[in-house]
Amino acid sequence: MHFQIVHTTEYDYSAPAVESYTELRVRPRNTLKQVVVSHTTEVNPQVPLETYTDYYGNFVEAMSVPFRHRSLTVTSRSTVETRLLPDGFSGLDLTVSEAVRLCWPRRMELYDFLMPSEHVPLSPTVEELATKLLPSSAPFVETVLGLNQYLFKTFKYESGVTDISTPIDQVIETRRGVCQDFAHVMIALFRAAGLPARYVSGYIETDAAALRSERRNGAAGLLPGFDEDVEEEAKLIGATASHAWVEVYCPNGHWIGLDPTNNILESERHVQIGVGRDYADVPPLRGVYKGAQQQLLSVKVSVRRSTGDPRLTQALWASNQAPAQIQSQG
Amino acid sequence: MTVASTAAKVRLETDEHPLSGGTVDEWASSHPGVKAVCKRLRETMGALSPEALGRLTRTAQDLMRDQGITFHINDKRAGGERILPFDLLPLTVAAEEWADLEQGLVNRARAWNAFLNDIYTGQDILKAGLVPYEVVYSDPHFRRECVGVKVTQDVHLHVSATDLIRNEDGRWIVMEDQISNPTGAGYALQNRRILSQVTPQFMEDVPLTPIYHYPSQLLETLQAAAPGGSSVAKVVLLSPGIYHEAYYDHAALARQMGIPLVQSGDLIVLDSEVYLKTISGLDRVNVIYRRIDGSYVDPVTNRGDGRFGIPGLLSCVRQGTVTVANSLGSGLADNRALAAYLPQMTEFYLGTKHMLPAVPTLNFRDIDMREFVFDNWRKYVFKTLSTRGPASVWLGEQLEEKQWDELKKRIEAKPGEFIAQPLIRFSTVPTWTEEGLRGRHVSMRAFVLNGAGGATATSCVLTRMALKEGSLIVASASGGGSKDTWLLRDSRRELHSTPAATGVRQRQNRLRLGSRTADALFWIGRYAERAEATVRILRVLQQIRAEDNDNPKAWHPLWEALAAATGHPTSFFKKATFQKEKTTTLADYILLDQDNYASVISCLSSCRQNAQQIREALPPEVWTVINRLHLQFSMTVKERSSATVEESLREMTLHSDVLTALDELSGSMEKHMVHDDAWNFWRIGRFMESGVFTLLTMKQVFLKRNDERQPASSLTEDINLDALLRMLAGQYAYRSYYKSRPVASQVALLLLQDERFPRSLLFSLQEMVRSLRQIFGERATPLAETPIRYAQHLASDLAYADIAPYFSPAFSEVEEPNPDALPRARTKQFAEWLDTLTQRLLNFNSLIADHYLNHQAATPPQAERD
Repeated sequence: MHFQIVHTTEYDYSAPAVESYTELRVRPRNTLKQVVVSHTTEVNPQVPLETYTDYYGNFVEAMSVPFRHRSLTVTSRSTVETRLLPDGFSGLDLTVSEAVRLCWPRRMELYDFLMPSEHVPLSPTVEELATKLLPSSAPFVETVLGLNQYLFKTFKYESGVTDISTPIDQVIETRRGVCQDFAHVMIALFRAAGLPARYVSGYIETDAAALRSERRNGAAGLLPGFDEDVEEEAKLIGATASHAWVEVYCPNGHWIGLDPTNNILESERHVQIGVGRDYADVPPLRGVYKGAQQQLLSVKVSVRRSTGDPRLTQALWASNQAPAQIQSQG
Repeated sequence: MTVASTAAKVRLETDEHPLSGGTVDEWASSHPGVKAVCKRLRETMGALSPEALGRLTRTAQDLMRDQGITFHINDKRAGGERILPFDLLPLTVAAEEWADLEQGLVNRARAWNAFLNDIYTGQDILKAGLVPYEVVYSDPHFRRECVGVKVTQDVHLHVSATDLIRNEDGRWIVMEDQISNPTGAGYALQNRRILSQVTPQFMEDVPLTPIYHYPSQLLETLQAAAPGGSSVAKVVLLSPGIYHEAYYDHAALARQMGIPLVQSGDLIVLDSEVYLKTISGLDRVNVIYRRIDGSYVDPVTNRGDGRFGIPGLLSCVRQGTVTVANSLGSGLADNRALAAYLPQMTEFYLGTKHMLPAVPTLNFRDIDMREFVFDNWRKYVFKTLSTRGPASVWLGEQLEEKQWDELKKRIEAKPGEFIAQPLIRFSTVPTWTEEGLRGRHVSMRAFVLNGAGGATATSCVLTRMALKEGSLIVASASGGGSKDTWLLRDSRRELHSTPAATGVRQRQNRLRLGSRTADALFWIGRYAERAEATVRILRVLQQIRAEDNDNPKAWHPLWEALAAATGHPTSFFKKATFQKEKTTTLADYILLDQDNYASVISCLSSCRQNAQQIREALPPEVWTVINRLHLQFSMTVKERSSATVEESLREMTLHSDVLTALDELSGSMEKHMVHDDAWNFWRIGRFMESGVFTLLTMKQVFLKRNDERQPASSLTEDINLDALLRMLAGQYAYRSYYKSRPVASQVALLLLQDERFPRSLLFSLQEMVRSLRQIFGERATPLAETPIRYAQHLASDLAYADIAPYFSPAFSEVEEPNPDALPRARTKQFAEWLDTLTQRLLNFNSLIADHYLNHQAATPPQAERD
């Protein structure tokens, strides 16, 4: 599938800000599932962007605005081609404890995703819930999918009741939150059970967006395997801002994407930006500035499906890891 | 020679010291060199009475207090700052012993450096399984953002230190290393200096290794670490500021190296390069000697506290434009569990097994080990892994059963966060106490410098001692003290003299005043002036009110003047609250209300805050005045509702007190400060505030004025003009000029254009220009020149402006009045002109900020750069 993503973040300061420094993690990454065809990041005020790749392989752009400014706008435009891969773990016949044991040979490289992290502490509450939901003798695949469904069914998606500083125990207690909270809870449960899990920041095409694209493009039908959910349950959640989900490590070497906010596996309609231990490793935007106490933040994300050039698509997947064009406008 | 040992004399025989079993006393050494020195010391001291020795000790400590050699402790009982207790009797180390230690110290530093290099690149040692990756990956000081970032010359540790103790067998062994940010060299240097001042007789003929060249050695190491190895590298010492416990250490080293002592706000990153903000512009920085915790340095990548960091510093490191010493990731090596693996590291990286013996470090990850230690817990010392400081160490033998149970529970819950070391009763040195000379346990901290050319164990060694009998706590933060350390010179060895530090001493070029200091002084000037002017207005208003309370409406312009000058809406003080209630309501609000940001107490708080941030740049006398003023006034605020305070508000005694104290402040600034750049910025602040205040206050009064030519100006107008003069302390000046009742045009002339009246706008402008010229000279750089030109232009516009037409119609218009010349229109025009002046003055204020203080002028938006 071919997506055009526009992600705009705007800060308005109540008084002029100076010496601001910001790190952006808004460029989708290249994976087996997705190829970034093009990406530009525009910033206003116009300053040069410095780029580097972080510890977890995410693409980072850093900008410094030393002079006085009243607002800061970042617009990231990406064109991404995604494809559906076999899910990588259906049919695996092993128990949770076997899966845990099979991770041991790679424990050193997986260590970061097994240990508690800033937003994912392994509290007694978490441990207790993990014992209940991820019993060691249960079959691995079913249990993982079951957990995805459990979170979807028992937790209520509600924006505004939590923020990034809400402790995970409170989210578990109140059973309400947004995709970040769903993801953090799921990661905590996996890690408590000894399964490596990581946080994915990205975008998702919502149903509303999909329908709009359809009307525009005259395409018919939603994704196979999707229809039922769409019919009976809610819209896919996430596209008002960026989305977050989870990857759990599977003993066959694959990372399996799970979206507990929508009770689905990561699909063709997900676009990954980056991965990390938790939100703190991959916030779309993090920065500091001197000046006004108050700032008004507005974030707009649009994920639009378009008909990509089929030849280009073919060429992309043929080479499989064609380097994407990186353009950073200064 | 016999040792004098009569009761009246100081008794020095070590066997008389009540020592705990097995402990070695340093002065009982059998090393011939040490023996000789100690014998001499005994003789010298034998001639002194215990009282004399006590007196000398106190002299030394007084000297330290006078010089501000303090160690800040977060303990209210200790009263915050205290001096590091100092004892005159040194720790003496034999030349052969030191020579043995040197190579070992160097190897430790090299091994740690190689380890850090490896961890932040290939992590070979983890892959080889020699160091458990869990320890590294779980450590909060393992900075993932530094992985793959190449540090200059592969040096992570430029300065490290090792704490050594002598065990019961008489061997020097390592207790632990201080890697990322070792403290104490400044104190060691000071100890030697104090000792040679107070008891020079102790040091006569002792073959001492000098330590005075340590600052040059350190500076050379830092300069050599600059990217590109520039020998004229600009080095700064980055400190968290005056509140930090070891601020003295930072200040002393910076001063002795002749480099700027900076805080994060002094530095700015532009286009991936670091600059120091000075009043004459931005200075490129090549090396940052970091004395703040690594996790605070870059607030964006490290998510630290924004107050301490330099945003974007890591980009500069990544691009290789600046060296941070020690490297940002070096905090990892302070993980106490890693010390257990140093033998493996030494062999892996250096290919040698030769290393200093160390106190064993026991890891609780091993269950058998844990059980064994738990069974013998009284014989162990327990420490946390990755935090340092008083709350991170427990001595088993000092714990009660209950305390041990608590600690044990903590360890069992998180075994990976603790280590244990066997308790060692390390050696003692005789120390003067109230009961005479007693042995006190000591530990020494040796500083090692490391550069691309190799590591050197310096002769700068700090001896730390426990203060209490038998105590093994030597840490300064836990109340330990210090002594001088005498490394004896081997007559057979060449004196370790570094070649006369090239350039270090010659290059004493005057450091340009830092923008932060200038900014603080500028604001001290502004706030003090604002407080003074506010009190003056208030006093006049209260006086008028007391004299004639019948017609409050009549002085509406005065209420408005007060409101405008203190940043309130013009109608603010006409409200019923201030008009109807007790007469003291207004005074209370203006003077004592902390919620009123323009109140005098708020001004004084801000004044003190600014002063505190630059205490090192203020003479103690000035600081005392500012501090006392704030303190006294805060006490009054606390008793706001009391009858005494109310009376002082009504009788205006408080007003007078404040004015007197503020006069004292400006007097002490004049008298005690060097009349240098810093002082000039204080003056500029004062005159800026004075100018703005004059304009804002007079506008309201003049706005309501009637035309002079109209017969019999009303009485209230007279009162108002008179009041205005009193508010701006111009009554005397006016009378000495005109000897008549106030006339609007003449009052305006005095307040705006008089060159000799200190509160006139023109006077303020000219004084500011004079100060700026003194700072930057007649030929300033174009950037520095801009604000000066602007002010000169404004001053000449003002000086030559003809204000008469605002007050009476021009001669030609008398016959044929045009509508613009009506009194009301003229008043409006005058008010507009005052507004223009205010605006231009504020523009000048922004130019000062942009060009000298926050350097916005040097960083125009991209669009304007081309």
